[in-house]
Amino acid sequence: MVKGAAGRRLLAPGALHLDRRIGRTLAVYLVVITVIVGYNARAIADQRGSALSVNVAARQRALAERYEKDVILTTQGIQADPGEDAQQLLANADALLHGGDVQAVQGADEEIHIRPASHDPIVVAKLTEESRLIEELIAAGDDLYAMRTGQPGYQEQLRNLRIVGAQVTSISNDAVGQMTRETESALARLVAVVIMLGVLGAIAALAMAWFLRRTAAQRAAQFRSLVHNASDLITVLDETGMIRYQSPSAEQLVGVRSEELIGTSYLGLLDENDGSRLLSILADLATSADPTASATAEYRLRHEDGSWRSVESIVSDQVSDPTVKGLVLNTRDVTDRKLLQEELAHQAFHDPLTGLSNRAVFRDRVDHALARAARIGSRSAVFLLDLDGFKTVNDSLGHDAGDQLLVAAAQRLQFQGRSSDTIARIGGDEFGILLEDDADETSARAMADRLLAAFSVPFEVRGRELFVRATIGIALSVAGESNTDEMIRNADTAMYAAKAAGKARYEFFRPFMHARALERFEVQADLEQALIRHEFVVHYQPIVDFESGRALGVEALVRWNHPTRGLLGPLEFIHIAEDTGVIVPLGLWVLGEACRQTVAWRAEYPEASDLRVSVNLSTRQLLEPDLVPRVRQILEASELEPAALTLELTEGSLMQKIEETVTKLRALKELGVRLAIDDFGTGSSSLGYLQRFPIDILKIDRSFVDGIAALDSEDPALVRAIVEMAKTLRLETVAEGIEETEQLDELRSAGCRTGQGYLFARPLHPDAMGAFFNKVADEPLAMTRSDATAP
Amino acid sequence: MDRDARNRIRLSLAIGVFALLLPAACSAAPQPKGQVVDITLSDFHIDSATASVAGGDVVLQVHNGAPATHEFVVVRTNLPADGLPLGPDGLSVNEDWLDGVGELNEVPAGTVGTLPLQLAPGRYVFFCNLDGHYLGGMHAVLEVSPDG
Repeated sequence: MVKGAAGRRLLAPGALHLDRRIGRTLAVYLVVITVIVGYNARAIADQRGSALSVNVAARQRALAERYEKDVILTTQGIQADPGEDAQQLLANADALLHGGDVQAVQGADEEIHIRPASHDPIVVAKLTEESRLIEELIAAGDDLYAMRTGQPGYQEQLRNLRIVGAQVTSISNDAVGQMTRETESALARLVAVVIMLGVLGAIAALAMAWFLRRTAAQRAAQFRSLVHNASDLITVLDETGMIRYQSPSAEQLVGVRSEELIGTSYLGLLDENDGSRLLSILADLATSADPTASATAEYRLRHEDGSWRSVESIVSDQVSDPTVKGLVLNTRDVTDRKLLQEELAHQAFHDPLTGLSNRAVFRDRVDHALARAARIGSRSAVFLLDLDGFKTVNDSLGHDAGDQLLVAAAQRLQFQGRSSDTIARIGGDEFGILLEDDADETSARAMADRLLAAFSVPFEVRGRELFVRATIGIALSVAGESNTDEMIRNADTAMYAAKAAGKARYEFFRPFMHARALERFEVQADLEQALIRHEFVVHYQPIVDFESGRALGVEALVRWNHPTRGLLGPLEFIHIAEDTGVIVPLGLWVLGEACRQTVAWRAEYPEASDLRVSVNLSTRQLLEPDLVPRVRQILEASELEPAALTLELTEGSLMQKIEETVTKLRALKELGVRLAIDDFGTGSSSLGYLQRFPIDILKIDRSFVDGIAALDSEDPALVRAIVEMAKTLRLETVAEGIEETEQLDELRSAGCRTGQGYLFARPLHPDAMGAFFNKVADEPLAMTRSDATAP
Repeated sequence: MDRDARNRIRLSLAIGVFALLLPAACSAAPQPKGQVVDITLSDFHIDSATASVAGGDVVLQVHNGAPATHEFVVVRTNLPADGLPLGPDGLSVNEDWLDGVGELNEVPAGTVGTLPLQLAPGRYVFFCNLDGHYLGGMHAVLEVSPDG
């Protein structure tokens, strides 16, 4: 693969280089040929000009002789025209020297133009001498012309004319001879040059042919090397599908040497389906009107070892190309790409951690189920399942443990679902389950029960047993009226309702829940402003000594005096405050308010002079780095003695960042503050752990108190065990949620001495507390339920 | 071998082919011995640098300063230089009636012809016997005196 790519990269500039060289060679050859042809053309024109001049020069002698004869005839009284001869002689002599028009043929009217006969100084000198002698001849002729035969001096003048005539003849012959020689030597030179240029042209042609041949050979070698070394397969098939050519890289792909493949059927390397598909592609291509058409085919090739490789071929029909005469397949191994595509597709549709479908797939399935349900008139059910306390596990044991828990939970869910059900991880610790086909409340309940049962067994994560329950919200479709968003939102709403109702349970969506969910959103929006607007108030529930009926202390409980919705209990907003972080400033405000109020009561009521106050500390607050200094500040500001303050923590919050938490709790202890574990018995803390924390008080959860008076209950024994254990660890116990005297009796007999609940008093507005103090002071043992009737 | 080196070899091969086509260089002729007499030809005159020489080896160096090509004929005669017998056309000397000593058939314009002669004492006439040239005045006399 890499080799092939590198080869292509390296070869591309090489081919360009070859093209340039071919271009240069052709240009040089063209210049050489142009020079040769141009030179020849000019030389031939020169020769033609020379031949004309020689012809004219040669005629001068005959003209001179005719002139001489015509003059003599004239002197003898015979009519002749030596003047015409003289005129021609002079004109020709001038034309030979300087170029000009002369008669083409002696005596004719037609004229031709000649160039100066020569630039050779010897020829020019001879022609000049000839011209001079012609003038002398004409002068001698003129002298004789005036005479008649027999006149005195006639013979002498005639002799003179003949001598000059002979001299003209002589010089004329001489000039023509010289010109002829010059022409001949020029011709010889020309022949030599033409031969030389011919040889040069031949050499240039040979060089070019050699070079082009070598370039073509290089090209072919490059192509061969490209084909041989490329990881891409090049295959040429004949019209019957037999392999005519196969590049060597086939061996890597199918494990058979390319030579052995030649003559075999290409389709034999494919499975039956792919084979017939490829065959139809080839057939389409062969019948295509466009001769340059190509097609792409994806299929698998069988390797000799039985494995399959995914490949992609570009097929082109080159049957009509005489150099190929076949179907050419350019085939690339795309196995890795395919695997990656499949992996990416899986990733796109699956949650990588649990391998379950992801949110997008879940929504898609719900879409389809609803469409189908609407069509055939059946119903579907969407479950949203949330792990209770997952956040605690994640925060206290780390994300790896959280992930392990999610994987284990996913496995349990899958085990409960039918194959037709879609189980997906929607996000975080939230799962979605889709029941298709004939879902109704009964079948959905059965499913929900199974799911809850699956979570009744503890999970084993990192060698620890974790009790993690699930809360489920269920939405049933209304035929033809439900859409996916609505279904999921309804299931979500139902799930919140189930959580609000106490977790580890399921709820079906009911329309009123929707309104409640809306309220929840409003709460979230209003909460931030509420603190600024002083909308929170603190109510106090007395913690009573069973013996005296006196309030030993009060537990501060926050209420929200919502401007439109009235007084809201903590259940309605505390978890939202946790989520948004408002809990931190809110918690500090409650703490400050409670301390201030306690100091005030201590001062006002003698009965409350040693009153203590308990304030809840949320998980989020405990994680705040400046918790201890803030508590100290509040104590100092309120001037409450630190021992009068009890901070209540849940088991869950203690289990996070244990080392850091222990350090913080010790620092709080050093301030003199007392610490209590709230809702003891509901969390996952073991007794062993309790010893690590500097705890003073255990508050027994109301769930134990609820069942303590019932027949056949194990709770009395449990409560007794908790109290015993607390005594062993030198911890105080406070029972929560006491509503009936029977419960009080049981608790007392179990050894518990203090507690809180409607039996004594519900959480009271600070103004009402004065009455409680006074009343208890007046009738210390009158612990009627009259105060606690109204919730 | 790199490409430049191969190009150079090709170039030198081509030059070699052309060199074969060039004519071979000419070699110089040996200089004849004897007393040199410089003679100048012009159109229709002959001038000799000297009118007489001692007998023996004489080298006539004939310079043709004329535009025309001339002939150079040497005869031994006591006839006057302009009184040599003419041929039937009346335009040139009849050499058959004279004692010819030597001649240069053709002295092209601007060249020097060399005519080495063994001259016995006597009277010699030079002339150009092209038609009309002798009659135009191309003749001169050289007296050769006995040795010493």
